[in-house]
Amino acid sequence: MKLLVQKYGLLAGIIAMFTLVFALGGAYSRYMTAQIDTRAGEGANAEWLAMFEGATRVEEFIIADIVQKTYPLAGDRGDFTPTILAAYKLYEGDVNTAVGVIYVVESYGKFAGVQIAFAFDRATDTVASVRVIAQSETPSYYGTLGTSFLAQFEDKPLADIALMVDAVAGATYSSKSFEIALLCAREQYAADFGFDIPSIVMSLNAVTYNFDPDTFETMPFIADVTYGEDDVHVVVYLDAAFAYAGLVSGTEPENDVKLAIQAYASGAGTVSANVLFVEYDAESRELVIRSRGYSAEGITVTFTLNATLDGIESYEVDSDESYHEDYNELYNHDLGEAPYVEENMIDQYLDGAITIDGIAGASVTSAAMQKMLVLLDQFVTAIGGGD
Amino acid sequence: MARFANGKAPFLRMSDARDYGTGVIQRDFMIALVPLILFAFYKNGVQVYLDGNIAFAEMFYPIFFILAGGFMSTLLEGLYFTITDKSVRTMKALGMKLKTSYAAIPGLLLAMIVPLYTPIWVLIFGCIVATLVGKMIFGGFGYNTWNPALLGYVAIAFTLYGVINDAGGALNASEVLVDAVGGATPLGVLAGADAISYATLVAPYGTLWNFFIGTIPGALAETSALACLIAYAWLVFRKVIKWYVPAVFVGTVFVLSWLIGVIAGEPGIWFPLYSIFSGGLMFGAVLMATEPVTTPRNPLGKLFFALFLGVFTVLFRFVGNLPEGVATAILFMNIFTLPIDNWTAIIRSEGLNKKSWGRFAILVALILFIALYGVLKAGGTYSAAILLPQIGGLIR
Repeated sequence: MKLLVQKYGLLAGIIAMFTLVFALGGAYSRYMTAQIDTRAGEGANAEWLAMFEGATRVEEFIIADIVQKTYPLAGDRGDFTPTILAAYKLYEGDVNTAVGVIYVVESYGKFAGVQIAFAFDRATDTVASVRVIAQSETPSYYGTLGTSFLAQFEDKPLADIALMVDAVAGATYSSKSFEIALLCAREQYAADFGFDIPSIVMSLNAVTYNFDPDTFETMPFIADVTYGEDDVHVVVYLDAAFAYAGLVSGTEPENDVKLAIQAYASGAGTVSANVLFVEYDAESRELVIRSRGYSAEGITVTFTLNATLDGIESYEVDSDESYHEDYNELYNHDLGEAPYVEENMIDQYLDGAITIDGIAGASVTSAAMQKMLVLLDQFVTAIGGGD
Repeated sequence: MARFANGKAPFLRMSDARDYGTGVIQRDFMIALVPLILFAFYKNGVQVYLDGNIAFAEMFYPIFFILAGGFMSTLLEGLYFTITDKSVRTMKALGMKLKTSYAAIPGLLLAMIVPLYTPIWVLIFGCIVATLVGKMIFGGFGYNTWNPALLGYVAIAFTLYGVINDAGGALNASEVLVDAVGGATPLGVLAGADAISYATLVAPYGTLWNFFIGTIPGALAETSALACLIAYAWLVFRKVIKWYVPAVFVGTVFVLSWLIGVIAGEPGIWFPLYSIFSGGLMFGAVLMATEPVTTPRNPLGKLFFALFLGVFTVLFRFVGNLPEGVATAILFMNIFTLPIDNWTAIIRSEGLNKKSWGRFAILVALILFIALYGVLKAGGTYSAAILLPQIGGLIR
């Protein structure tokens, strides 16, 4: 035994100390990790509680039936299905009936990854508060969404059919991400707590551009709608935000119908607020159209119609677009400075091309110009019967 | 009596003084760690306890963690000697061996440069790599090619960083409650940023003063530039390190970061200051880049070594995927210690003549090329104005 200790005692001692540090240190380390988890959890809970006045307790709950709906993104960029990331019930004191509920929704603004939390008041079915959890939007634009923007959500009734959000100019995509998230959260709230989302039986027959030069500046769209149990038919003007702006024919609808028309029309996708008539001077025959491309200022083109109003005599482009320089080498062409792409596409149109080709390296600008030329074509057809 | 070496460089410093030698150097080095360890204890223990966010027993965890690193490193080295060397199988012999091997240092340093919430088993894994792989396999103290602590750190960083984050990561119990911090260290934020902005990079953590003092999230004991400067002053005063190695290393990063900021449209002096006070740059410059075994011996070699460290840190930090860059740069340059030592020794002994000119030009050209590429590439990343030259499509 003595020999054994002499021979291996040191080795065994070192291994024993090693094991001791491993075990005791590991326990200490695990204890610390458990503590930091608790702290982080308490910190997060404090943030949820701060979203609802009077709440003293918060509990995350598992959503049994996740509602998934698709909504159109701003700027004709296709559809997006928001996701509920987490849901919390809020309690006051020891009462076990939730006074509020929070939904954290993943939405889509200019880019993916916008996470917004909405707190709903269970007693009044209104929005109690809103909080942005994460976003990777363009800072200069996103920064314009200040407290006044967020204030519009406070006490907003969920019974509001459209739940439209007043967008901030320059941050339209980011603003729209709030609307999509709120609609998604309301759907989930309705499924979880038996809230009835108001609805109106409505059929959107058509949404078109308004080609009347006297009114198109303030009322760029016309919606043809049939609604209600009695199939009431009405044709209305809409403004650039698709809000009701005037009556074309029929009887002026109720306010909730107007909101429903706005919601339906904005999601229809047949017209776009990104390309609009700016003005038309009948005397000089000058038509100004603006289309949103890469630049926030948009592309503005002044077309001078010919004397018979069935064609274009000349045009002038005002554009701050920037093209993707990397593509120049790749496609063996030099796009140079704006308005090269704009003029190229207008010239294609004037040369009678049936399909106006976009230009690689300027896909966003090309799409904006294609929309503008379609609108121009429709206007010329409407006003002078041109082909 | 002074001694003069009779031969070609590199020359070894010799001294007749009884109180000067490896033992004294290592003792001074350990003393230099004291302000850093104390600050780590204050920032991650005392202050958090005073904030009311941890219990009394938790307050001592930073100290325990660092000492555990040193202790594990010592035990591992002892285990290695006991198994491989029959002559050290008694306590007395092993004690003598460990005393001259400075066994605790790799583990101590490693524990100081990993996040506070690194699980103990991960620290032990790092110690195994640092001590056994980084040091003992090469022959022990004085023979290692790479800085042992950094080798252990890189092994952990490349394989187990997810485990560390799951266990709590770098933020202490007070920092984790700060909304603005958002769970990231300053360099973590920089890695995910697409623009250089004071509001994004500095403001969430306070001001640059917080960066200088070290009250920002980061690895356990490397956040305080002030503590690093105290260690620096001590080591220079004791002539343990050459003053210009950390100065040139940090200075290079400062200048290149400033140029990156200028290209990205942010010419303010705050950005280079942010750059040198973030991460482990000051720590690495003072305590790692000056390590006597794994870095060049002659002054010119040290100078070039520091310049290379600066440009590679910028390259790895701003252009590479990893948010840090200091550890990778030092380890990478450890490989070239010998050639740099040899080349610069020739340049020093012969001056800039026909034979040595080429070597000098190659070293300078390499530094300038890497610096230029790093600055232009990084500057372009943070701004719309891409200034990067395209030479035959090679550099994009």
